[in-house]
Amino acid sequence: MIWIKAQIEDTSPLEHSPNIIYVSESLADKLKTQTKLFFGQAEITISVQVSPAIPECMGTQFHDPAPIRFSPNLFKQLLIQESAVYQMHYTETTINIGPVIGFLLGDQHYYYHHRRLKELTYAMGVYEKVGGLFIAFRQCSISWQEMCIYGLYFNYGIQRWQYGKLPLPSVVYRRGFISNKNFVNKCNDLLNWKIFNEVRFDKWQFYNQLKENNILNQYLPETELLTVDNLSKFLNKYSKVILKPTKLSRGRGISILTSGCDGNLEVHDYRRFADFKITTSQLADYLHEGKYLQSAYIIQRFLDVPRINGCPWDIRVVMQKNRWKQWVCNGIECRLAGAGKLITNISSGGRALELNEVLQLAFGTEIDPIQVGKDIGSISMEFCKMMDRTGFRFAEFGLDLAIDQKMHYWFIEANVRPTFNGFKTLDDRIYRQICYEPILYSASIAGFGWEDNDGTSIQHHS
Amino acid sequence: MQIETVNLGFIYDAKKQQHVIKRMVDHFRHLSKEYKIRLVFFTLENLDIEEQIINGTTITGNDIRQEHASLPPLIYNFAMHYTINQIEIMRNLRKMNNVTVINPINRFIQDIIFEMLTTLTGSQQFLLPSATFNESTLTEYLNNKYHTLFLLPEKTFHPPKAVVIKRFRKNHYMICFGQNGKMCGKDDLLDYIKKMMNNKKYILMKGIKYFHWGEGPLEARVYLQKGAGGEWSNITISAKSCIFSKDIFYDTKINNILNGFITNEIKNIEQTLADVSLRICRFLDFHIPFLGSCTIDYIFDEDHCPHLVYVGGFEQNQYLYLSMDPAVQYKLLNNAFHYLLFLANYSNEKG
Repeated sequence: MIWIKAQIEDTSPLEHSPNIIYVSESLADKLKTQTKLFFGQAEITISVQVSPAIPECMGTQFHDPAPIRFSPNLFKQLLIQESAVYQMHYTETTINIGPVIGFLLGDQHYYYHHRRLKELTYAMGVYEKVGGLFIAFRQCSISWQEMCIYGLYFNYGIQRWQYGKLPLPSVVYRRGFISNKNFVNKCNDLLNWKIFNEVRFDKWQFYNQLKENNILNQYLPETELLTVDNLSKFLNKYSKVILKPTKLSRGRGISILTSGCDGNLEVHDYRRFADFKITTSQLADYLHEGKYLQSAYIIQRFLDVPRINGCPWDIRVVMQKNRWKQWVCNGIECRLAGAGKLITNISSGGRALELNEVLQLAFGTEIDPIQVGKDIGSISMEFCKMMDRTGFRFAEFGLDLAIDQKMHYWFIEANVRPTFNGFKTLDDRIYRQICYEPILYSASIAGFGWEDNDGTSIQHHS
Repeated sequence: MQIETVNLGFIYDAKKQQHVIKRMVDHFRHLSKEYKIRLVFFTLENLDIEEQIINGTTITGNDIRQEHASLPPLIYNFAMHYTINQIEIMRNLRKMNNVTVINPINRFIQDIIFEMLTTLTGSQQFLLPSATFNESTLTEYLNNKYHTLFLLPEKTFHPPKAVVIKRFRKNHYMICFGQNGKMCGKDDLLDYIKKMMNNKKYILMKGIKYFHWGEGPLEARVYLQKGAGGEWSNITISAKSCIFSKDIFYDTKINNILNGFITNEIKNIEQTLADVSLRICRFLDFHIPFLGSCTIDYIFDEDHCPHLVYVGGFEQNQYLYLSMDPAVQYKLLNNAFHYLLFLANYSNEKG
């Protein structure tokens, strides 16, 4: 594997030029004169020719790539970008240049621009380890007629996302869940790309997966789909229950009901500024009026975790696939609800704290933080392995766990496209690792490697 | 509360579009009758997004009522939204799984649009070099490159107004806003412009010697829409002076203005405007989803070549809208209706 820089051969004829790459003499010795070139989804038969004008360079380091010139027609077909530094590996019959990685964006913004891609720009901090072409696009960006993407690519030279006509990537990291569910299926059918985070399981689907798992089902709080009858049964059994929309995240749509001694129910509704009371006979009306029964909702027992200054907390675990295609735990943070709140999400006013600190505050010396870390790791790992067995490609999960007064672990929920905002303030090193890991994994499944920290060699894991 | 079911929805602005809403409702009454489709006109203020209920004007043929209706699956937005609350509602609306909103935004950040268009093949034909205004781009453009510069707001709720900066003689510049001009020394130029910009973002554009009409350059506005087949088409091209002039002037047909000057080229100019605008809209579809209407403004250089100066969504200027030929107004409404109908049939076919 070597590092290369693609240039256009400006001396060859412009139109209908044959598909040729021009290389230095020493590189030409290693390549067949007729071979197949792969770049993203493109596969083109090419000739390799020596050009004395190209300086000798072994391309062993990212910062010293070997120049390769492409005939204009080939350059145009591949939609290769000159600003990138690529990896190249070759066999007797093929040359692979890449990686070409796509980020499939969601509906967060109506249209995208460099200034709206801060998280991805941050992730490009790892660019010098993998090189290649990174493309941010959305459903509407694909031209099926031209089989290309009109999207944004990361221009390493100026550290900016720029618009361009771009090749179809070989690996796609799904960053948002767009409304048209057929789109991913269509792409899977028509394009030979590997897409990860391809499906989004909702809370009820995750629950049903977990329920079937003999190791994990002991950590599940009792859960049911919301109906008036189910809710009544839950309220007879538990003093506090939580209603969650199956498809929403970040604490949206949540309602918490607490049975009072007077037989009334106290309601903590995310839509209302203050809590209020209803009688049990008003329960059905409350659900009807609040449209809870029209949307898909689950009911869960509200977990009574030891509080810190009266505020509940939970644990967010970040599981990601690493460059060796293995699941790893890249971060554990605790999220403490804001004062007077019952929801821990950072976006709902919660704040991130270190696990050790929270365990100390909640349990004092009764608990061994190292053992807790191990337990969390093994629960999370079991979950990821279970999800791999579904046959879908996942590469990232945000898992929410809790520990109750009896030090029993609870699996609250899993998120396919989690946010990691808490880590930003907690530990920048961990936050960077979380941002970089999917990039290294993408390069790895695209069949490319990464440069060691000392920049002396490219590691490759196939 | 009785909640009616409707097929298609149209969002309007009760204040800014008060002069046209009656005509719109009247026209849609005929369409509703002809296609036996229930419609609702509503404002964002009368949308309960949590409950997905609208309090709006429902149209069932000749039957027009003020009542509650459920949120329809297809909505066309005629309005521009100003307040944080309205913008937030529209953001949530366009993100909903069960709803498609056409033209969720009718004003665009111009430097992003211009940056997108730089990658459209052949765009140098109509796109003037531009950059986000700051001290370094101003220095670069003035010192090394251009004799005249245009300064245009990055985005604005009102019709945009351009500032023209012309090198007058060495170290002196003429700053023109509409028909008003002021001389400014080189050392004071940046401060003067910044003060004039009032902390708003602007785009700096290479200026050209333009084709004059009255006191300023002649501007063309091309109206484009998607219609019954889901494809873009050119609706009309009108002449105006608005962005570069103090007073608004308007004529429904650009031919009327060009006729006296450049008779031989009129067809070519119209064709160029239509072709370029269609290419722009088709290209923007790759970057901006759910576009249904576009207005594209140009000025002309001395050789009568058009140069892009502004891209907007559905016409928001009521003076310009009402000045249009009524047949063109109806065409704009017809296309909005038929495009939604096309999308409804398309999704039905897909099952």
